[in-house]
Amino acid sequence: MQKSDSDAKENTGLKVNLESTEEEKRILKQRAFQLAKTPKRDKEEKGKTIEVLSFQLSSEIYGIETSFIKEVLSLKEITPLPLTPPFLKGIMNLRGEIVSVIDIRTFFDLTDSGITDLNRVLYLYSEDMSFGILADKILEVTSIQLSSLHSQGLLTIKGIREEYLKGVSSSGMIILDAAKILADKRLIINEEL
Amino acid sequence: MDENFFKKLLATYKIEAQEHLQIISSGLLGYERSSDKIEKETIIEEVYRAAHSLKGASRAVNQYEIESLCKGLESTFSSLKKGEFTAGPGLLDIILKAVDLIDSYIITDDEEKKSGLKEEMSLVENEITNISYSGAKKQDERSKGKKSEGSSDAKDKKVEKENEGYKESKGYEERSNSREEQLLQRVSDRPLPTSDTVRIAVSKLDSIFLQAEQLISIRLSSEQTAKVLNDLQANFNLWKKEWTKVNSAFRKIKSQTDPSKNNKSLISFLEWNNDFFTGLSEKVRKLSRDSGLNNRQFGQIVNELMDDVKQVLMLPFSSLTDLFPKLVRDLSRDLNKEVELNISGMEIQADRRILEEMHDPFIHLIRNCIDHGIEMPAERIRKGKDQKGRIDISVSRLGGNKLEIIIEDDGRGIDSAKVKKSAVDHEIITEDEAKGLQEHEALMLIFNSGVSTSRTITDISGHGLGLAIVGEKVDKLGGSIKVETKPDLGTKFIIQLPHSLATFRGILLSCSGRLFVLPALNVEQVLKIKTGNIKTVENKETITVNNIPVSLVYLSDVLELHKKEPIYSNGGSFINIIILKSNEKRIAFVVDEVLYEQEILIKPFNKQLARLKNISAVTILGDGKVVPVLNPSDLIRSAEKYSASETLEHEETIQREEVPGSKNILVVDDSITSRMLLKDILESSGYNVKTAIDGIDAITALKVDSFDLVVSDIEMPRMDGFEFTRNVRNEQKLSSIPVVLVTALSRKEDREKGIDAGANAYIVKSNFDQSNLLDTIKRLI
Repeated sequence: MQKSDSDAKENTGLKVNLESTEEEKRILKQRAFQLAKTPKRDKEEKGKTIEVLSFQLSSEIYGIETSFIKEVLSLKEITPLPLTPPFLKGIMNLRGEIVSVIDIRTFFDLTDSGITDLNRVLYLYSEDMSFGILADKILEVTSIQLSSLHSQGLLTIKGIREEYLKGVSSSGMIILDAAKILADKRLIINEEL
Repeated sequence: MDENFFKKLLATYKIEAQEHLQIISSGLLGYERSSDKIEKETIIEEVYRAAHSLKGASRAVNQYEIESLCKGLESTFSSLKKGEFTAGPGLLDIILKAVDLIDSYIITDDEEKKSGLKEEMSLVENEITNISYSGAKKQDERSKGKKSEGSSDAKDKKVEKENEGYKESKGYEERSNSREEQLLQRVSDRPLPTSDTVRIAVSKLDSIFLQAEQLISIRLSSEQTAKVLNDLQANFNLWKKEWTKVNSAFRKIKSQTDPSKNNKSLISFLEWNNDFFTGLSEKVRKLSRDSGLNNRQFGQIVNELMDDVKQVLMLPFSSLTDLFPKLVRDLSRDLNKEVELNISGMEIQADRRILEEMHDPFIHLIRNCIDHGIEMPAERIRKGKDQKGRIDISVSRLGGNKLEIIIEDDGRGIDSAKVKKSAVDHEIITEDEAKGLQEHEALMLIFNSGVSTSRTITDISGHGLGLAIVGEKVDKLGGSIKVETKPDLGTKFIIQLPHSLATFRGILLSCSGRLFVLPALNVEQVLKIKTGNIKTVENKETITVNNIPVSLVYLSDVLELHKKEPIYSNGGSFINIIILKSNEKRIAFVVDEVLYEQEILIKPFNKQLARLKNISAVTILGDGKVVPVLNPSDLIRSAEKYSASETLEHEETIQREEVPGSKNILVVDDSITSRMLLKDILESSGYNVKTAIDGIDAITALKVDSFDLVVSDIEMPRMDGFEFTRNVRNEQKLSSIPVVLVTALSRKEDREKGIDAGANAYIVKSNFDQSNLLDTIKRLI
């Protein structure tokens, strides 16, 4: 019995040793990391940029952060589903996966003004939601400084509900808040008969 | 220790631990029930081993709290084994509680919850030690010191022995290089239950299954390709035939022609062309043949693979029902009832996903049986029944891909009057409707949300939700459910389910220009009927099939799609009908066309589409088209709602119709859109409208029925509007019918031509608006 006790001690002793070296390594790493950082954090925050994919829909130019875009698809064949809300345009087949496609204009209660040539779908995703949104044309991927976005003001003119907006860029691009759109429970269709 | 490895180890431990816990709890229940001494001994041996193994495993993954509790269990079982005392219900309850605690402790990742459970565990541990200690003491006293050691001594000894074992393994440990290896060793030291089985994570199996399933759509698309190639080959054959026809002529020309420059290049091109096409045709023939061959082989392999994979996904019902004895015991104890559970047919296998889906329904049904069905012991004795209630669960295999599950109790039965009352209270049906219901129809109401016969709502049941969930789940799995009940004799739930999922037979149909799939399982009959056979009963359209009247609804109405003009087959009076059946209800749906029946691969919707009305899922056809799969029970309910609302509408239109009088108008147009448009405009103004597709068709229609006016297009195939008007005027019987020409031709000459032909009015489409047409018609009739 004693023997096994001492064994256990030895064993835990070994474990402590091992952990302390790992702990040391971790501390060293952390320090190195701290040192490597630029000292002024303030500047970093201010200059934070987001990567945005811009697209055209009706006569407006919108942008969505690329980190929420899984894929850009071309709109080939879409199957409409009866008895669903008008913002749901239908579903499409992406290599055997079913992707639902939404027209954000309808969802935002925008009157679709201007000629549209819907032929692209931005496949948005987050951890627990994914769907596609319609676009006329994909423009480009740009980096935008968060600080350069104006908030509000213009937005009311554009008629989009504030909650879905990140801001408007200096060039007039409407940056949508994809995280909020993806998390919006109103987009989930759950209809009992 | 490597963190990843530890995680993996912990995952393995969880599975193992749950198995041991299962053995302990089911063992103890068996122990309680059994009166056979030898059987009891075997059981105790089994649970003792399980506790022991669990203790060892827990230690290996640093779950010291579980280890310590298992130690207590182990020594209790050991004492039981030695016969130092016998276990009463009190002890068994505590042990089962311990098992529950360990189970929740293992499952949860919530640290806070864990520490709470920890406390409870140590309390339970003390209790177990106390009980087994005092139990042993009493036994000891009774045996008057036959044994000099108390159970605490025995326990000490046990611990010592255990430590020896630990020492031994320590010795082994010293020789092994690392702790990891030793842990692995521990896990693999445990003998596998049988040598020819492996343990695979469910997620891995699921991924294999999904991939195999994906092959089905590839197979369907390969079938499509083979068919296209076959068609292509047929095209080449046609070309060959045509070429052969002119070949001799060509040779003649070739031999006669002076090989002068003019024709030479043309002739040599034709020759080259012939060779080229012949070569191409040969290639296509080979390609088509190979593709057909590949397709057949591929199809066979995919089918076999799918069958095998489905087999792998099969589990016996026991994996589900093993939990029930404990559930029944706990619930009946809570309610002070006595219930005996009998389960049979548990060796029958079913798709794991079906079993998973059925888990909740089973629990709801069992709760129902115990809470509502089985009476209190005193009441049972009064009724002359055995004071112990019975619940029988049996599973049996029916023909085809079907299983039948029966859950039956011998309780008080369901009072259908109460069900009706509850349904009326919840406004699911009206009082009048309730009166007209048959017994079995009334019973089906219990599957509606909110309906409950229990006066008191307990935390076990009475909310009226349980059976609604059961109904919904069974529906979702493509099954059906029935209830049979007799007062004071009991209630029987009969559930039929498919025993495997994944693919099923579907019927492809079109409606308003769109494709849909209906599960073949729910399609009772597909038929064409004459429109004349549709009868209107109380403003509801019905047809009679096999002498049974079935109400008739347009699918496009139920789905709220723009209704296309019903497609009449030649002769004009047949429509396509599908009779759907779900939960004992039948309704005939009018569709445009029934295309074919085929194997369908079900794809679930993504998270955004949590639940849709009337559509349960989608499928992907061989050509990649996405097609919605309709939900039969939803459809039937929608249809019932629709026809109820339509009855009202009909009455309204009848009232409105009295104003202009029921004048009959014939609309003649070759374009279906204009035809529909005109029909719609006129009908909404209260006219009766029939249509014809051209002049000849219209003449026939005029001969069959009598009309007050004709609205006709001019440019039509076979017989145009001018000729048609002339024909009408020349026919003595028809000459007095006003004819309105509606056309895109706005030239003055055309207008004159129309008037010459005998038209009463001439409306140009470019300035065509409703009021213009309606005014004109009003003036004429």
